[in-house]
Amino acid sequence: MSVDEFIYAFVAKEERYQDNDQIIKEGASGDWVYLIIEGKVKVKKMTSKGLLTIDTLKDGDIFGEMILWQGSRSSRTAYVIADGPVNVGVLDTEALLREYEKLSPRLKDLMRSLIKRLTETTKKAVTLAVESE
Amino acid sequence: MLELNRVTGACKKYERLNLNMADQEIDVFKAHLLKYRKGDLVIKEGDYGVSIYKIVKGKVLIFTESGDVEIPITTLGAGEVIGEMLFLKKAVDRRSASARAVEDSEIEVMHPNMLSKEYDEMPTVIKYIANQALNRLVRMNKMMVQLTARKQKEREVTSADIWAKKRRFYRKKMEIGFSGRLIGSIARNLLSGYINDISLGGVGMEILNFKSDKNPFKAGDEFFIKTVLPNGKDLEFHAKLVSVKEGKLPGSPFFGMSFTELTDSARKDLGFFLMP
Repeated sequence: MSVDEFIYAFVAKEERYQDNDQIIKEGASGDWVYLIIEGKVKVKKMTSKGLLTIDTLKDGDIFGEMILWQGSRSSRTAYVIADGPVNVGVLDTEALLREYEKLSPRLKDLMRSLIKRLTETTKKAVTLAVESE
Repeated sequence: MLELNRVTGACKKYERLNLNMADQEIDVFKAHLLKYRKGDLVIKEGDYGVSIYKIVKGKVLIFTESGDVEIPITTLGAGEVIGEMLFLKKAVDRRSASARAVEDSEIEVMHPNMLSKEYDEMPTVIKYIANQALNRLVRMNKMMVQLTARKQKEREVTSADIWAKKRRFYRKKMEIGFSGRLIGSIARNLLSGYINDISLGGVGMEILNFKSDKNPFKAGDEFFIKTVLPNGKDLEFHAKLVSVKEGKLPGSPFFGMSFTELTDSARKDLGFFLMP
């Protein structure tokens, strides 16, 4: 298991998924943040030409974290699908938010900016990928 | 332009100043407020830099470049931050994107040392998540640049097709000898034979010094070609191999080439020759 202890401490419960299981659905609501304990997942976006894989994540990687900066009630920005059997930890969102609140206002600005950049860049990359199909 | 130089000059000076004094008097550092005119560059992709910029007033476009194509990523407004990637990476590195004021803007510039205490107090788990987002952003940037480069290549191929069409419409039938060599290669990569048709876009050539099955060349290879037009004028040009077909002589290749370099005087000579 290549997951650091300090992050594992935030795991509220563990879930197992089989190959091709859908862990997160784009557009759905939900405020869980996940940690991959063992295995791999694919991050996919729905495009006019079908599902497009934009990233692959592995042990120790986190997904669904965008919800932290965008506030609950926002919808998921991508699909996350199991790539082979995968063991994920569901993180305690409340505890994460408490940690986030400790940030100085300037660092919060920085984080928000980073996440916005990531969201916009991903959108742009997906548009380009669809155009070049 | 003068304004641009003044502003980027001021920034550079500022960064240098702070890098030198960084360890001594962190507390006295105040964020500097800089004014940018519409069109001014705030950050240039590829430059080294450490400062963090916060937009106080105005709008700034973030864009990246692939070849000579500009890819707009996002437009930021008041309250938003630029330059956070390098700060969070904790590295002195090149800027991964450019930023340009698209309105007259006021921007607060901070040296990373002004934030380092706050960063040290950042909870480990938030640092961990920030790092992941950062790595993901780097991957997305790469993907975007690769895709743009691919699109550009496709566009180049399309323009080669246009040249081929032009050649078909205006070409003149003829049969003159030529000699050529591959550009950027040793003398052995030679080409000789007859030019069968010529236009202002390119030439069709019957190759005689090797057979089709021994053809060492492929589409995209560029040649330097010399010939003498039937009117006695020397003609020299650069041309790129566009297509390879079977020639009239059994086993001989026929090269379709489009000009890549034709001097004005050569173009004039060729124009006269091609007049009906």
